[in-house]
Amino acid sequence: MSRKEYKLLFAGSMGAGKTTAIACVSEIPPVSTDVANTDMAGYAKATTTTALDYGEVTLASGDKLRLYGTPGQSRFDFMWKILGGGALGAVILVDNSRPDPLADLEEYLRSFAEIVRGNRAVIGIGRTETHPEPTLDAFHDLLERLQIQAPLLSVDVRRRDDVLLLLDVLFHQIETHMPADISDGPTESLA
Amino acid sequence: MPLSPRTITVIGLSLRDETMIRSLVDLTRGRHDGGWRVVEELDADVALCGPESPLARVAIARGRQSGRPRCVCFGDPGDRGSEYAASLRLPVRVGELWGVLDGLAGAPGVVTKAAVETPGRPRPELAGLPIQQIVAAMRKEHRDGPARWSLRIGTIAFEVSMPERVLQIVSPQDCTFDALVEAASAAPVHSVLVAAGRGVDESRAVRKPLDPLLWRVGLRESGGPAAAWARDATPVSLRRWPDFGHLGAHRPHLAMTSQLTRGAMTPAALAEAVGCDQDQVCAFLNACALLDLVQVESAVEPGGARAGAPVVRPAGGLNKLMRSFRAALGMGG
Repeated sequence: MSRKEYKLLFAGSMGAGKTTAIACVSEIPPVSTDVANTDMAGYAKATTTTALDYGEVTLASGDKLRLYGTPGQSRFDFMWKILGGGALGAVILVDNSRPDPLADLEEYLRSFAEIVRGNRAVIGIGRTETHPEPTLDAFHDLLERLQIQAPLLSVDVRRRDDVLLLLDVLFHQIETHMPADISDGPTESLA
Repeated sequence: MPLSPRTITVIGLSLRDETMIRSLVDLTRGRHDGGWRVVEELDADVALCGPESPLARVAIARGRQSGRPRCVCFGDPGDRGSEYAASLRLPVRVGELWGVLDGLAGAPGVVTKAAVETPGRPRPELAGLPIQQIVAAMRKEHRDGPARWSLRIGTIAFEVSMPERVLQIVSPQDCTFDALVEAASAAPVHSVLVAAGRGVDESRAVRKPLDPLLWRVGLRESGGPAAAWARDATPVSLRRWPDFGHLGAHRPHLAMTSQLTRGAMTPAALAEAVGCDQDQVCAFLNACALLDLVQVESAVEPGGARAGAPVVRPAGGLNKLMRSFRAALGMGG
């Protein structure tokens, strides 16, 4: 019996909440390839993802929605292109407490340009309550400068409702901007 | 604990005008900030002066020496306008009078360091307007520089800092955000003061973004600009997504936003595209308009038809797939 599978990406810099977001919605404990963070001066985080996070959701039909978290460090950016291939859409997470969140977002917008310009991405800005600058207006100005229009929301991915909001927005974008029938996703043979 | 009322004395007015002023001032009785009361003594917070009265000169001189009373000219001050802190002319609206009085006494309710250093300038021409129009004025004027707007609706006093779009409720101290939404939806703003510069009092608790207030007021608005767009079949679009992370999201709003960021649509076409009634669409558009997100299409095609993006309905398979994703994630169809 063949099953279809669909892929969603969670991208963003280290500490932006990719692993947390996947954990919120995955029906299996997320598989994370974490190792000790050797750059504690730069990032006050005990672990970091070297390759990817993985989670999944099983649909009523038995098909799979696979959730992939990209490695945050730019030295693993070769993985971004690999993971991006065939993805239905992407959730791009930004940590507003980082030194230059606007530059972070711009890097991911450029790296996932095909998905972003296909209107199949949503952007979540985290930690805006404790770090209100840059404001969401500044992020919107960035999108305007890059001539990109994408949904942009302030979220806390530790809250499941916020992660579901990001996904719901993404699904609406896919519905609105992809009128072609894509229900025939890649098929995984389980036979 | 209620504050003591501030005092106003009346000098050199006709009996008719004085009686009118007394009755208007009496309306402030019971306000949480104490309101105002009319006294006979010259030693008052504010003196309302007839410009022809010799006693007005005495009050002005006293005010210059000791800071009290602050003198308001009731009528045409002529060449002596600069001697007065403000002026009022007949016919006087309640909102105008309160706006001037509250402005001269500082921000209503809690007296803050910011209010003492940068007393607000009363804006009587804005008093009595709904908050939607006050917000339009704020947006237009903040380009001149940061400003703190002190507003009062009923018994609720609050401040808005622009361009940060931050809101602080000043009084009553136990006033909830819901109560402010209720008040702003139902009644006009009756007092407006504007102070230049950044005057947000960092010591106050509960600073909130302004947008959620505007969003909820807009959703409750009947009529508004959306009613005209619906009536005239005007295509509109959104220049960006609202921040649903802060505003709260309803599924139809997400669908509407996705359509309107794709291209301009008339309210009727939008209702058809997302499968909801036009009242819901108009409420959503009013809320977006208050956040200054709406772009109105102006082009009219030959024959009178207006341009607009064609209605996009997701293909059946895609729609079914997204529903299955939502169901699997526990989001409902």
